[in-house]
Amino acid sequence: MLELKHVYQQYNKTPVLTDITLQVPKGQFVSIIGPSGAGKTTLLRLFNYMVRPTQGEVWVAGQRLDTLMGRKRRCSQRRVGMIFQDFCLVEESTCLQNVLNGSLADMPIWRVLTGSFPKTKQAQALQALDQVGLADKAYCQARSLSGGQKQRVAIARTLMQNADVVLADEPVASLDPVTARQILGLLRKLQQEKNLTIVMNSHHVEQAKEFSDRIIGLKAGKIMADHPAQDWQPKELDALYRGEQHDET
Amino acid sequence: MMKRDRHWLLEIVFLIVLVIAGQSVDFSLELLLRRGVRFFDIASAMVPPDASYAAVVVRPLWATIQMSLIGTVAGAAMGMAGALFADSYVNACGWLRIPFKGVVNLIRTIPALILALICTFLVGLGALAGTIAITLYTFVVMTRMGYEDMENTPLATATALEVTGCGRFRAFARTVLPTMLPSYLTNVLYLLEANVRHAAILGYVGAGGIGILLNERIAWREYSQVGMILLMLYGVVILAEGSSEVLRRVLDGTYRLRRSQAVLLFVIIAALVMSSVGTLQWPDRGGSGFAAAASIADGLIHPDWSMILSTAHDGVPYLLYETFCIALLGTVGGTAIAAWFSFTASFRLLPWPLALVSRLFLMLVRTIPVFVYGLMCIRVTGPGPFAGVLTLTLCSVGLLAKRFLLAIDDIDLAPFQAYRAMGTPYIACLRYALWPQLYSRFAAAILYRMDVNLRDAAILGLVGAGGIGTPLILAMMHYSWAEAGALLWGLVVMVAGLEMISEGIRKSRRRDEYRD
Repeated sequence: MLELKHVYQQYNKTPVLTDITLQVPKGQFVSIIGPSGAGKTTLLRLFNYMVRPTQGEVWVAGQRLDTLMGRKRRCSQRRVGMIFQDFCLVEESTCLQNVLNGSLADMPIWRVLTGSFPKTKQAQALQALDQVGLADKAYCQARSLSGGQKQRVAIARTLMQNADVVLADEPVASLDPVTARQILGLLRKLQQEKNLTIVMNSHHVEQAKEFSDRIIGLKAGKIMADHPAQDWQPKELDALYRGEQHDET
Repeated sequence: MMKRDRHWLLEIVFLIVLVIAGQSVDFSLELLLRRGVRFFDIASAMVPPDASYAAVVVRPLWATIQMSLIGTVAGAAMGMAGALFADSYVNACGWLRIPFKGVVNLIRTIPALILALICTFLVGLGALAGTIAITLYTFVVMTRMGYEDMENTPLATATALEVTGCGRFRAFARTVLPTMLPSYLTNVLYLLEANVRHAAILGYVGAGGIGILLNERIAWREYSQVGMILLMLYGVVILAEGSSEVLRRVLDGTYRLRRSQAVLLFVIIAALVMSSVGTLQWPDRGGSGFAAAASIADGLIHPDWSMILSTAHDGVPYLLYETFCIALLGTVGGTAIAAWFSFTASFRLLPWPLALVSRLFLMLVRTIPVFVYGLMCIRVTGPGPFAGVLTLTLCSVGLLAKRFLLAIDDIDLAPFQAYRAMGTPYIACLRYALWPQLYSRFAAAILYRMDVNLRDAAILGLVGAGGIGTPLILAMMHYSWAEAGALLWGLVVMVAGLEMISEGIRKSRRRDEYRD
């Protein structure tokens, strides 16, 4: 489903990713862990063209994303949803409007400007909100929600998008532990129901172990280790995070 | 330590500048005290207003409202499109965007009255010229405000949607637009109020509305009829401010409209605008408009360089200096008066009947058009720049007091009460608990008003109150476009230059705040 082939990425001549090659099969929940500055966010953003690789190939659902242009690229991007640490909702709009924003790509421009979406889309958006357990909040302003509820709206937006890949960039980093577990549980449940492919960045090893199928350890722009979640040993984790302690002192 | 010393030095320099400016505009306290009462000559002649004249006033007054209404609505709609075009996220072509911004900011420096005068040459005398001028003015102001709002709105959410493959415009329309729209519309409402007052002046140059009548009655010295016109204008201003206050409540969400009410409101506004458009007469001047446009353009491209370089009193540099002095002293004078009235008009600091009296008085001060003040002041000082200073002082009071009042209403009284509870003297509480909260907002208002005053100083020329306005308007009326071009370029460069300086001050202040 997702594939990187010998990808290099630089930012202002500083290498961020070095020779990354990996494959994610359909329906897998992958977590990427590693110290801050390892390049986790950059890696994730390759898959929806928020970041272009300096070198190498990015494949999404059988299409090479980094060389596609215009309409074809947007078609590929539509299959990939993303949720963010800071939610990225329109705080002034209602939850329903925010969820409907997931379907902008196939709306005519006058509907986008007036905000009058067809009945079928509205019903679909309400259903998506229902799936994340927020049906009763549909007409509340996003501003008035708690962090966990906001992230649920963001998840509903990716459902609305009919994405079959979801990228999650530290989705629970700004939430309290209980809410965090609820959100990850929801992601896991939806992933299994809809056979979604999920790639999640995390700095919380225990959460990654509990909710994902496979964990990739990233350090200084290179893949350190790549195992099924339950196979990770404390020694490897130590090795992954050891350098960071060193740098900070 | 170093920083404090510099502050002290700056204050001295500012005082010296004020004294020099005062000399240049023939400021004389003695004259003011001796002849100050003459200010009320015209005012007392207006009382009682001639009530029988009301019937004559209604039609042109309505035309004035229509002009400002269409101008504001059309200008605001175009301004939104302009803002989108000027936004770096939506419009990736820098080579289109940056010249566009430049042109918008250039036009913004030209006073609305001068725009109206130019329009009368292009489309002939009448309401159409005034409407076009107000539309153009609203367009440039709202474009500027719009793209600034857009630039200040974070793009994270728009980017999040863009990567779902819906394209930039769709993402922008659903994320940044809803975020900035309320503040955009609030600014439109403020501008509508200002445009009603502007529209009343435009008649002075033949651009339609009540101004023509006002000009004529003043020329005939029929002051009781002038009084009636001003009284009705006062009514309209109160009405405009009242309804825009209600609409602002709707926008900021304190008052929610039901769907039927929203539809009704929309229909009323649409009907008003449509009926106003219907009354405009389109020009049938054949090619003369184009000929006028060509000669205006020629004058702008080939300004009279001898005037620009001349150091005589009728050369551009001296006129600009005089205009600057008038605007500066007018702003300082207005600040002093407005500071007093903003404190007495605050419902938070005074019992409401007293505050209400101050508020109604402030609104009255704001209703009277610039040139009526000009005429009243000329009675005191005779024609010349000093009359201009007094006029701008009075004109500045309205806007400054309003901004000051908003700042006072927003302050947090908790630190003040905390200091009082610590037994700090009252004056010290004002200085250390309230003043720090007000300071930056007062400064922003004063800088903004200085910018407006520079442009308004050009209007004063109409009544002979000094500055660059008199020669500019005369040159335009005599079709000497090379002279007009030289004066206009001078004005544009000065206003733009001072705006850059005040922008620079604001930015460095903001950096200081972050650093502290």
